[in-house]
Order: sequence, then C-alpha cells, then structure tokens
Amino acid sequence: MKHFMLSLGVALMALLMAGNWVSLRAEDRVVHFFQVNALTGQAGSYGTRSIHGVELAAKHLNDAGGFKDTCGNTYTIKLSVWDMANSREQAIAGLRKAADDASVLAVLGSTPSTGFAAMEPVAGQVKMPIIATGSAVPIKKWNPYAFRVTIATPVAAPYFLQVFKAKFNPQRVALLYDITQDALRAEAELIRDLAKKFGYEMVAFEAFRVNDTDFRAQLTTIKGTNPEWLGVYAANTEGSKIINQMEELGLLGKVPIFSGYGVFQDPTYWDLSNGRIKGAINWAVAFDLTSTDPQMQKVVTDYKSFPEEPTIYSVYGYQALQAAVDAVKRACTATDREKFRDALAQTKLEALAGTVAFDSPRSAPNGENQGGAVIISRITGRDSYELIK
Amino acid sequence: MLRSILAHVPAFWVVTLITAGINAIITMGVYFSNAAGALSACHAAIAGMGAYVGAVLTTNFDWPFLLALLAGVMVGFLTGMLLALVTLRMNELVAGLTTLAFGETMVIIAFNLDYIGGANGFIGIPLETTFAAVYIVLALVVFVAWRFDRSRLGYAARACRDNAHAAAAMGINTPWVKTLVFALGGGIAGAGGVLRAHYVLVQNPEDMGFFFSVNYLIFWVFGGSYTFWGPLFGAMFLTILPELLRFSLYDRFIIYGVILTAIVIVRLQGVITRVPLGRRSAVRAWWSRREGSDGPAPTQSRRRHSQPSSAPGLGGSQGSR
Amino acid sequence: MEQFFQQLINGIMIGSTYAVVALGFGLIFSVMRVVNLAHPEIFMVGAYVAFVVITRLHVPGQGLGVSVAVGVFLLVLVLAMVVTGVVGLVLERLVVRPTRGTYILTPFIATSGVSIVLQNGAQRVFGPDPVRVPSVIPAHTFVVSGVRVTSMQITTVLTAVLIMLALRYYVYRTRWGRATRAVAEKPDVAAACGVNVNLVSQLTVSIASIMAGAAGVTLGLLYSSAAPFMGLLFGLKSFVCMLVAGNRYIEAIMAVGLLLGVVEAMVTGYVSSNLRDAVAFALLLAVLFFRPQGLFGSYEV
Repeated sequence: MKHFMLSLGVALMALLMAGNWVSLRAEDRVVHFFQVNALTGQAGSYGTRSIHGVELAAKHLNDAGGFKDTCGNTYTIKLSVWDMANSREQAIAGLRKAADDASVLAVLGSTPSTGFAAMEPVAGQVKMPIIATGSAVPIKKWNPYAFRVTIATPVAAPYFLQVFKAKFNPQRVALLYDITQDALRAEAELIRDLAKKFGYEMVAFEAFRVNDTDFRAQLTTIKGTNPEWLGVYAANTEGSKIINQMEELGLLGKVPIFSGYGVFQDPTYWDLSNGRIKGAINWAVAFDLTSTDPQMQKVVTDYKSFPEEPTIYSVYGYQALQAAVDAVKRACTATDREKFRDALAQTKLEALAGTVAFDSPRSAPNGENQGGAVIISRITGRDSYELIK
Repeated sequence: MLRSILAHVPAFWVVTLITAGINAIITMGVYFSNAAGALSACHAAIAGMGAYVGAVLTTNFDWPFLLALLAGVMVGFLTGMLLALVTLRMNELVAGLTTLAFGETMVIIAFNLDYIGGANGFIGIPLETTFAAVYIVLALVVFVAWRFDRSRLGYAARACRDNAHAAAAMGINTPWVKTLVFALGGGIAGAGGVLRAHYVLVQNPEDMGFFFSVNYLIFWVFGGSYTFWGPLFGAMFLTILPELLRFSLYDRFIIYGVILTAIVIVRLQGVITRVPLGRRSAVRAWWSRREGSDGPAPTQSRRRHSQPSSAPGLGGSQGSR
Repeated sequence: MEQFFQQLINGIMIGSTYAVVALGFGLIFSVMRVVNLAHPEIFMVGAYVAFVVITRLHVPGQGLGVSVAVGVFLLVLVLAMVVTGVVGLVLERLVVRPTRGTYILTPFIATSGVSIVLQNGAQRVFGPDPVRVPSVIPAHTFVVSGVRVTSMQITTVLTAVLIMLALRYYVYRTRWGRATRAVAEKPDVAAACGVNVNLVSQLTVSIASIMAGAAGVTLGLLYSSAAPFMGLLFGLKSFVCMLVAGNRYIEAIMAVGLLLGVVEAMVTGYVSSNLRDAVAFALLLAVLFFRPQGLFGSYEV
C-alpha cells in the first residue's frame, strides 16, 4: 500500500510539473485579484452585488480565452473573496493578507464605508493598490495606492444642484437623511451648505439612523414646513419605508422627491415601496440596465445566474475589474504592484457604464474617478427612467 | 528580534492577533470593574472615551503616543470612578442598567459633538499601535491582574462580590473597594481604546455602543468570570474563532453562533474556572488523581495562596483567612 | 394644532409596536429572570413567515373584501404564531432551561448566540436584501380634521391591545397563569407547592414567542418589508420599555411603550430628530434614579 501511494504521488507530481512546463512555454499568466467586501452582516446586500459584478467581469474575460496585454502575454484572471462582515478590523486583516500574498496584484473593494475608510490608509502602508467599488466616504488625504470607481458627492452634487435649479427653481427644500451613513450625510450637508449659493431655503433638515423603521415624526415636522421638494437620502431599507409613510401622511402626491447615488434606480426600492417612487428624480452614474448596448445586455442576461438583481454596485464591481484589467494590459505585469499602480493612475477607459478615469500622480494623489458621467433621471417604471437635461 | 519572528507570521494573523490583544485588554478592564460585584455594560463607551481623548491629543496637538495613552487611561479611570460612585447604593441589576444608559448617552453626545467629528467620526489618527505595543500593555495588565488576584484588594473585591453584607461585616470598606476596582477597570479599558483608535485609525460614535459593550461582556462571561485567565481566554478565543471559520464563506457566523451557544450551555460557569497554568495546581491535580488523596501537603505559607475553587457561586478563596 | 395631533397618533403607533415586542420580553424576564436576547429575532422570524405565506398564497394586494382580508390576515397570524411558538419551545428546552437560574448574564449570552444564528440564517436563506411583504388588509386612509391614520396602523394598535388582553386573561384567569405568577414571585416556594416550574418555563417562553410572532406579522405588514436585521432596533427599545415599566403589571409595559413612542414623536417633531434615540435612554436614566423598581413597581429581582 505504501509503495503504491508513493509511486502514485511521484506520478502525480511528474504530471503536474509537465503540465506547468507546457503552460509556461505558452506564456500564459494568471493575474490574481483579491476582493475584500461584506458578504454577511448589515452591509451584505451591497458587498454581495459588488463581488458578483467582479466575478461576472472575470468570467466574461476568462470565457473569451483570457485577455492579452500590449506585450503579447495572455492572462487568465483568478479571484479570491474575503468577507469583512461590517468590521473594520476584518477588512484590514483581509488587506494585509492580500499584501502578504505575492501572487495578488490588487485588492478590489470594499463597498461599505467602514471597510474602505479603514483600508485606505493601510493600503498606503503595505503598498497594495486598492480599487473601491461603491464606497463614497469622504477621504481627507489620499495615498497613492487607493482608488475608487464610485462617483462621489463632491463631483456629482453640485452638478445635480445646477440642473435642479435650472429646471425646477425650488425655493423651499427639505431634507431627510441617514445620519449614520457617511456618503448620504455628506451629501445632505453639502446640499444644506449650498442653499444660499443656489438660492433656495432649507426649511427642514431632519435626520434618522440606520435600522429605524418609523419616520412619521420627522415627516410630520417636514409636512408642517410646507416644502416644495423633499430630499430623501436613505438606503432602500429605510427609504422605502419613508416613501410608504409619506403616502400615509398625504405627502406623496404633494411634494416631489429627489435623492442621489442612483438609489431610486434600484429595483428593490421600487418593489419595497410598491412603485411609489415613480416620478422621483435622482442623480446617478450614467448606467442604464435596459440600454441596447450589447455589453450591458450581456451583463444583464448573464447576471441572472446570481440570486439577486443587479444594481449600481454590481456595475461598480464590473467596472473595477475592467479598470484593473486595462491597467494590467498597459503595465504588462501580473505581479509588479508598483508598475500596476502607475498604469492604473493614468486610466482612461470606456467601461461598462461610462468612463473610468484616474488622474493620480504619486506627488498629488487623488483616487477619485474623474471620468464618470453623471445623469439626472426621473423614474418612470421599475426598470425605466427618463433623462432630465 | 520580535520583528524577525513576526516576519514569519502571515500578516493577516498579525492583524487578528493585534485585534484579539486589544479585545483582551478591554475585557480585562471588564474583569476588574466587575470584580467587586458590579455589572458594567458600558465598557465600550469607556474605552471609546479614552480613545477619543488619546486620538485628539495625538492628531490635533501632536502629543507623543505614550502620553496620549496615559491620558486615555486617566480618562477611563476617572469615568470608572464616577460611575462607581453613582451606582454605589443601587442593586446590581439597576447599577448595570445605569451603566448601559450611560454608554448610550455617551454615543449620542459623541454624535452631536462636531469637534471630534460628530457622526463622521474622528479620522486621520496616526498609526502608533504595533504588535509589540499591544502585547506589552496586555502583559502589563495580566501582571497587574495576577498580583491583584493574590492581593488583599483582590480578596476584598471577591468578598464584596460574593456577599457584600458579610464583607462589610468583616471590616472591608466596601464602597472604597468597589470604587477603586471599577476605576481600575475603567483605566485599563481606556488604554485598550487608545490602542484600538491608533490601529484602526478611525473612531466612530457607534463603536461605543451597547452592541460592543455586550461583546466584551460575552468574552468575559464566556471565558470565566472568576479568574483573570477567563476574560483573557474568552477575548482571544472568540476574536480568533471567526477567522478560523473562514473556510465557510457564507455560513461563518452561523457556525460561530452555534459554537458560542453550545459552549456557554456546556460550561455554564465559564470555560476557565480555576487557574489552569499554575504549575502547582496542575501537579497537585495530577497527584491527587493518582493517589486518590490531596497530594503532598503544602507548607503553611503556600496554603494561603492556594488556587480558587471551581465551585460556581463561591468564587474566591476559602473563607478562612 | 393639527401637527400636534398627528404626532400624537404617530407616537401611539410607534409606541404600540415597541410595546408588542416588549410584552414578550417582559414576560420571560419577570417570570424567569432571563433576558432572552433572541426574542427580537423570533419576532423577525414571524415577519418572514408572513412573507413566505403571503407570497405562496399569491394574495392580491387590493380588491379583497374586508372579511376575506381579515380572514387571510388571521390565517397568516396563526401560522406565524405556530412557527414561532415551536421555535420558542425549542429555544426553551435547549438554551433557556440549562442556563436559567445561574448568573444573570449566562442566558443573556447563550440567547445572544442564538440571535446571531437566527440573523445570519435568515440572511442566508432569504438573502441580504429586505423582502417585500405584500399587504393583506385593504389600504384605506382615514382623515379626521387633517390627521391621517391608515387601516394597517389601526390593525397594528388593535393587535397590540388584543395581545395584551389575551396575556392578561392568561395570567390572571387561568390555572397556569396563576402558576406563572407564583413562579414570578417566588420560584422556590412555588416549586415547593407543587408547581411544575419546568412546564411553566416552557409555557412562558412559548407564549412570549407566539406574541413575538404575531408582532412580527403585524409589523411586517405595516412596513411592507422583512429584513434579517429588523429585530435590532426593537430589541433595544423594548428592553428599555421593559425596564422602565417594572415587571409587576403587564399593562405597565403597554403603557410605557405608548409613552415612549409618544415622547419620541414629540421630541423628534418639536426639538430635534437627532435626539430621538436619546429619549429612550434619558427615560431609563430618570427611572433608574428616581424609581429603580420601575414606574409601576416590580417583584424583587
């Protein structure tokens, strides 16, 4: 028995080595991307979508036989997933694990701000390039290794307010926002601070916390101030409840709603509010799940293999992988993080839903996506909207 | 030298060990505070307060890390003292709830204080915590706990915990013991908080909430609340366990919950109920099992420092002192 | 003035939702001195049962006659109560009974482990997104001089009151209720008098879980959604309700729940929405200082 096992082992090893040698000759390389995101916990719905978006993008490329870089090598993509479960420490642990593994070229993630806010400084310390897929947390001081494909408030909100004022010229604006979510709060505060500049009055500025279920008290206050427009800055769990309660209080027909981050284009939002968000407007990254663009159509069709419906976070995940692959093509490497980082810093890519463009020299880094087009859309149906110009 | 050893440990285990160490420090704080019978449901808040103070000092005022750490300890100590004085005359449950309310109140205050970042949290904290820093502090705390357990203060505290009236009748100054012990635990928690803030580099109001305080209580009770080995073990085990369970990507926490519940039910008094690593106890236990008797008779002086018994509800040493 | 009354109605509404979860919490705590941290998660299970049943039955949202709607509602309620009752039974046998009577934190921690399992289990089975619970009661808004109340809100308050009355009947008018009260006051004496404390324990947890299930169905329909972590908020607020009310009278918990809801609504409306959660804890602190046995008194703990 022992002899048999020994000879079996030797035979297997010989086979493996032969296989390796064969593949080495064809100059196939494997590029390894490591995902750190929230699979479980309260941010699980966002992280899961981002992870699936990345997986779908990798699948599309691998099914086509991998991709070629500008130096003639072919690559296949390998993905690892690390669940951070809404804990900063676990996010950092994942990033450090990736940094330790020499085969990992870059980290994709995370979507929740708890993760990215904690990982961003560490990325600079361990010199691991990281591309965030949906976090919009305000970053005070970027390090050269951190990037994100998200379109965030500082870029989008002023544009939104411009169009908003030009088209609707509101005088009395009220806001109801989630004080515990960095991105939503940042935008609410920005809208409040720009009130004078854009000539409207902030008649109500009410807050709530994540996991709250009842907003009637705040809505009643808002109703009493007679606003012309109400900004609802909430995730779909709380936001749908807000919209439903607006109807109960008689606000829904009277006061139109606006928001940001393309939240209303999430089909779950439509379902949970039973379609009451029809007519609401928001700014969004220019992506249209119903567009006739063949690439988008393929993504929407293939996404059906996952149990949930795609939203902007799936798109962010897809785009992050596209941007990373584009950087690999220009850097001609699957393992050199410095070359990869420098190539990534000069990305100008027409990705799945708009442009991903970084302009991030090491001396003055800023990992924001400078290229994304922001649209203002009005919701007309579960999966449809019209553009407002 | 430590660095070269650490270089061989995979980096993410270093992260996990640092996190476990910080949790262990704060849980030791819980151990101290509750040693005299109090129930502290706000240790995350005390740690958080120390963390905010330490972080503000290093970030805004460029204090050296060691001084900021001491400042955090001071803040924790004073908060602990305050809480103890306030809850002195209350019965255990009501005192515990007061601490709970205090913790949540601190969260709300932090939410509304813009100087420390408000709801955004305090960011931009410099990275000062290293593996060595955490474990040196932890070793110090363990040493203090070890001396405490064998000191008059430790026995007095355990007496207060088991029966406050009897302790007072024996001449122990119960209010003083309770206050001192609670304050000590608060100071230790403050140190843990400063270490955490300078590791994660962000300090949020939510990190001070009831949810996190309950986590520390779980570590403390799970590990065994009668000796300091209990919270040490509980914190390290329950922090490292979710990382060990990563083979199951989606069901990690379900398994964790099942293991936690099962162990609590099987070991009602905590996993560690007597000092496990004292050579003497291990030797004596082995000897007594072999001989069927109490083993070689210890000398008089050693008897005084004998190990605490494992019977739940009795806690501390035998009453004859 | 209209705003004041609207806020009052809002408050009563939220308050009854807190109360209905707090009733079960309080029952377990006052009878068995056990803090059942899994109680909010059992409530969440009730909401998911409603989701599963209603979507399986393909219930149309509107257009049901009132009697049919009420019938469907009761059916869903009963099914959820059966499921959560069984969950409570299993919980009692496996987790509560072994840990009961030891240090007060031990069952607390054991049940928190169970709550972790339930939360993540729900996330695993139903996905991390909240799911839509289609409404059963035909939606109708009653407007009385500017104050708006919907039919589902009225159903919620009615259900809460009915649950409380049913519990009252059980505790004060039945044999087992008397046994329960005896165990709540002095478990040793009750056992000495021949009360089967284990059976009382089982009954108590099951009844509390049944109530949680009913609460889950009602709130799931009220908010049209069920989510894995929906129990978190109610857990904390209901816990505070229970502590402030004291464990002597069941009606006390209901009253305190309503009080908390109304005060929260008033503070949110007239002071600042940032301070909403502070209300619960301020109330708790005030009671702990001035009347630690709870507003309406309690048995010795």
